[in-house]
Amino acid sequence: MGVLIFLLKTYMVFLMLLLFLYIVRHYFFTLNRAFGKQRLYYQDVLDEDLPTVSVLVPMHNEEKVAKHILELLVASDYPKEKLEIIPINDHSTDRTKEILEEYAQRYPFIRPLHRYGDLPRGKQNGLNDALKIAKGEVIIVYDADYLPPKAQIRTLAIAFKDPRVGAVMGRVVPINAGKNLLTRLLDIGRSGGYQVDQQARYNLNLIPQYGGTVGGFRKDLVMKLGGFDTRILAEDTELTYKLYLNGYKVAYANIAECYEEAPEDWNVRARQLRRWSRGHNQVMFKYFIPTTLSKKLSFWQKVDGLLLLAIYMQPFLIFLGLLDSLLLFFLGEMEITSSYLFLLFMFAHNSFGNFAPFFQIGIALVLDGAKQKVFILPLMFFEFIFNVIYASLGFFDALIDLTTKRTILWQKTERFRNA
Amino acid sequence: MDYKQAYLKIFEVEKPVIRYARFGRVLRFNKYLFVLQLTLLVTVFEFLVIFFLEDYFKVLSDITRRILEDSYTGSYKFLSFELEYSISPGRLPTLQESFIYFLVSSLSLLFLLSKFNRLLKYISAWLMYIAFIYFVSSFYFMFFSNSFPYTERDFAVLYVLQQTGVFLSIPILLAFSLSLFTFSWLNLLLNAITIAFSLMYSSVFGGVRYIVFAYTLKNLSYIHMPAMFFLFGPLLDFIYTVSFYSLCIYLTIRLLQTKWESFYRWGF
Repeated sequence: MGVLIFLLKTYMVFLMLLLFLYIVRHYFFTLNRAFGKQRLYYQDVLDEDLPTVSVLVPMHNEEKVAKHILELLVASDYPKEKLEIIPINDHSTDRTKEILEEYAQRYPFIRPLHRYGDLPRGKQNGLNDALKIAKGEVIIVYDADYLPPKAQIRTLAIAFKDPRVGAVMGRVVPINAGKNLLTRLLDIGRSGGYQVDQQARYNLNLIPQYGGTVGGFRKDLVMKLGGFDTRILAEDTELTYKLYLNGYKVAYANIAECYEEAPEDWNVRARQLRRWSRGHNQVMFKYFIPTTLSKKLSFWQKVDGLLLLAIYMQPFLIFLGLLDSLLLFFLGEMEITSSYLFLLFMFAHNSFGNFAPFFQIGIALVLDGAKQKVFILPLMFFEFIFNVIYASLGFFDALIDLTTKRTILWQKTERFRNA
Repeated sequence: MDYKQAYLKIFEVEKPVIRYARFGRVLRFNKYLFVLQLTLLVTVFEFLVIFFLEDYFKVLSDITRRILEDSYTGSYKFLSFELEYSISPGRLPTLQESFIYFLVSSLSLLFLLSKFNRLLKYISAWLMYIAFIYFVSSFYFMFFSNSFPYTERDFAVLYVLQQTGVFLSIPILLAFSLSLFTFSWLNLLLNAITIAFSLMYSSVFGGVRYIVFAYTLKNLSYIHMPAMFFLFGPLLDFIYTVSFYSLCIYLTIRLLQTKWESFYRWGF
């Protein structure tokens, strides 16, 4: 029994220290973004010799949103002779195919890729196929529910004038933020994640993450690195690590804001979160050791890279921590969890900011000039157990994927917009 | 051409200055004020907490004694402080009670996990957590009731420790997050008021919570004790602490933002 109690207490101390490390990291990011010298993006680079760009838009049953994104991409100010748009119709059974064909007839630079039959479904499979036919030097990816502004392709593509840039990432802003509690919570979470977290990591030359949409990468480089691993659901996170481990970097364009449709339904959000967690943890299993041993990364890039890899494991560790505390309670060892350590444990639960603590989101909202939104901060409480459950389930999924090599099925996020 | 001229005219009229765009702006920062706020807020409020700690628990003990007539008084030595508490004798749940709780929590869990559950996921998640705590607790009391390692006296001590932890954490938590705002010397005042209100709220809330818990242990049973720590413990304290933080940011912006751009500067 003594050994068991020792192990349980050791785990609690480990968890507290780990979560405290995350809090310190986020506090440092907050300080850097709020007051530090910001690293300039490439938006001021003026060059007429723009790269050729292929815009890929993965779609599966996107009849509600397909027209919106295509209209906006057509209206882009990027020189049309250097632009092609490849909507990837992935086994759609609704009117997506007809809509794409209609646009392809009207605009010669829209070249849909229809994927049916035996071709395996999923974003990463679609992207791999599209890369084979894309003519652009640079690939820009948008999810189908995104609404890119007119000048955004130019803003994103210009970063590739820097030969060290392997990928670029813009900022995601929910367009339906005011719809309900969930969209409001996601909106402030995005604010903290992009306005503070991504920008700070870019400032500090750490590891800003390529997010798989509102972003792009060099086609030849990605092809050379073997394209996207079809067994990994978070192809964006995987690409980030692949690039850094090969000596390239990800540029973050805080100026490149693009509207998205955040999930309006908790069931949809639960599936999305579980999928993200599963994919992210798959990447963690694959890249934890290579990141630790890499000679291309600096010490702080390794630290940040490892903490970023483990971010979706955090809810699972917290879940174990809750079980651990309960066991300690019934074993009569409540003192360790009742006083300061337990409080620290609770504080380290990120004070309900599940991937960003409340002070980080608070600063992001002040930087965004969104003063009314600060009142939503305490409501992050509602997300707390929800995130612990669904991110933990995603962790288990990834663990099963790792051990059984089962087939990975892609689950699309449901859309809510009226067509 | 007319369009271009009209556009330029609008640009001149509506854009007399280029405002700090949100992608590249940072907050105005006074590092001396930051350090001063952080130091003052933490030291002053930690000192106040420590100074009033014994008195607070003494008052709470007196009130509890008046409400719970059969209570007795004890004290716990924490560092050099004698923290007093009053508590009534509690009781273990009977097998029948434990079984009812076990049945209700199991059925609740089954329902919440089933496809018939139409509740919103975030509400379901919290209900699952509550049901799970009661499931574990009732299971334990059904089989190991006599081995339960705590008495009501232990509960009181644990609560005193927990509440002390809350009091000591609030100034640190809020000072570190609010000292980032250094727009004016008024920030110091506003932040100090916020921490003071949070502590006052905490002392009232913590006191009421203790009495409710003590009453529950006396009149119901120890089966609720895990819920007291894992559901209604520090988790609730962070809700109002973050709420006070939100209110303070809102007031900071409202009171100190004399003109639109007074908070910002370019970060490049």
